Amino acid sequence: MKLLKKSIITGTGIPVRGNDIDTDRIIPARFMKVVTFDGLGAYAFYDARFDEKGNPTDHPFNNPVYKNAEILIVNKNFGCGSSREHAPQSLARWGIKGIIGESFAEIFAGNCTAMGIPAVTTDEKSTAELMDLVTNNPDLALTINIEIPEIRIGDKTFPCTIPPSKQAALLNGTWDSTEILLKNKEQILKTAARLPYMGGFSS
Amino acid sequence: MGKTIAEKIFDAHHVDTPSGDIHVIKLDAVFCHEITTPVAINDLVSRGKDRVFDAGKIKAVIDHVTPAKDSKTAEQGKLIREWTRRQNIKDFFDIGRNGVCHALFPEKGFVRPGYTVIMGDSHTCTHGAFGAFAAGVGTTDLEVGILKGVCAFHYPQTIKITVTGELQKGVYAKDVILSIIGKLGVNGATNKVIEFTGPVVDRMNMEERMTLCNMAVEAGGTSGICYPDMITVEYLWDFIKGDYPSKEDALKDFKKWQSDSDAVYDEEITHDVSGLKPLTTVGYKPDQLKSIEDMGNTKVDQVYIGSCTNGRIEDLRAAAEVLKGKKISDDVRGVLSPATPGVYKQALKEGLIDIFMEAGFCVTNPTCGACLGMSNGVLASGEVCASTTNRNFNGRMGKGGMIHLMSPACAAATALTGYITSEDKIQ
Repeated sequence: MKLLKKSIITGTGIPVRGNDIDTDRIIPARFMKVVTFDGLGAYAFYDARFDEKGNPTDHPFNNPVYKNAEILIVNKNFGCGSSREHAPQSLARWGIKGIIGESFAEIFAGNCTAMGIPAVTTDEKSTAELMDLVTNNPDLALTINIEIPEIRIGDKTFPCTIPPSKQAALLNGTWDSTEILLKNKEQILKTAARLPYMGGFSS
Repeated sequence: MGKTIAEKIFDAHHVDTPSGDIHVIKLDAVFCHEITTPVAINDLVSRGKDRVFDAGKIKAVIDHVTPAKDSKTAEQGKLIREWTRRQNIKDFFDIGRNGVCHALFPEKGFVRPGYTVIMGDSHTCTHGAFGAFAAGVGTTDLEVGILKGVCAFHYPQTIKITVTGELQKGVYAKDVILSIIGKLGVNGATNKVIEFTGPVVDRMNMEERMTLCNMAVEAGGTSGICYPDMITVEYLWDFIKGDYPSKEDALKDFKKWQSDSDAVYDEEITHDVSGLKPLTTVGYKPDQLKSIEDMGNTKVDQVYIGSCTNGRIEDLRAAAEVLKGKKISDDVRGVLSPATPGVYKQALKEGLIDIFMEAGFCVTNPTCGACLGMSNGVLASGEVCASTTNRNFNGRMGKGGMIHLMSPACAAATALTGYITSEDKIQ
């Protein structure tokens, strides 16, 4: 089994400000007419990036200074709404390798972990400061240390949190649940046998 | 110490506790549709694991864009269709038999009290109306579910909402859930299950309970859940009568899926709905609410009645009652999407479809289409839609469009006048 351990993510940052940015906003449904996630990076924040006439807006994802950014910084309840994994997939394929935010919607955070992307939370004040630091110094590298966990930018550090299960999955390289759960066959069969209405179970 | 219904379901389905409060649970059903499942199928094929854990427990439907509107959506349909054949998945609902997943699957009796259900769709929480734990997941988690019949979740923390009082005439389950979302906020229930209980919920039929649970995710909830009772038994009776000698026996069995009186909750809220008035949303978040009477002359271009929130027979009855013998405004496009073929046929039988068509509504086939701006009623920029759906997100029904969520009766009233109107204003 291939294990890809993730303990440190480093890259320049990109702030996308606003609470409750939903997954329809991250990738509109009309771009979900796909049978693989390939190429979705082009549609990240599409309707926020282009106006009705198709002209680019001043959205950070259009700003050339953030072209190579790898760490997204957001505010509260990021990724709410639709469960579409297309949303974090489009961000990842645009180039995002880690996300820092005040809070995340549950399914979105789960999808990030399943993809091996750390989504760490910081308080409101730290988030605002991180956003300002990145806005003023777009070339400054950020580091998310998943093990401690903390965020480092220049000579500053900020504490952050990540649920222990998600932290362990990233550090141990066991975030790829499709691979991992194949190990648990025996216990799955035992539970299935215990449930009276689970006839016809096969693996 | 007692347990909540969600805790009881988790404990009965426990497979493993890999770390902390993460529980891997056995799934009783995995639901699939053509938008999120094909990506999982392709990944399984590429990993050399093109298998399913149990073909009988996988239910699939083409519902988001149907009939296919272009080559890409046709390809998505083809992929899931061929997969169900290859994997011998009998419960696959293709065109002619298909409808909105969260209306169709309950109608087919696929959800029972105590079940665990996942789907690559956030409104899977709808099925909690049956006393099941049902949650939306992403494609990767769905893939694991398809392959192994398990899914990992945080051990549930629950917010208990006791709904009390008497609903006034013209106030519906939709208004109740909107008011609850207003109280909790759009992230007030993140990582938590919302348990809906109390006398108002006890009196609700299954359609209304599905409307409640459907929008639990709009408050951030993992799932909504109601206690199974005799109303649940009656709804499911045709499917379970071979399993129980009587309805009372079924009820007795279902009662094991109720929270204990000494269960521990994360939060307990009593929500009195006696003074509740018909509501609608303003802005781009479902917790931004206003009484319809305070909306002034808010003109609309389209009225959409349908979806997994409010496209069931009770919803069509409520809307038709308002529309009967009347014509919708010349300035409004009325679109009705009965949620399932069963709903459509019943509405035909009751003469409801006649009422809608005489009023000037376009009646589409059952589909999710317009709700997420994929087909059958996409908005143009600057247009306004009164909609019985669940999300008023920016651009959801079409880039630059504005959505006002409301009950089917108010949507019908709005179609008649051309501006946001409550049912009681229609003579």
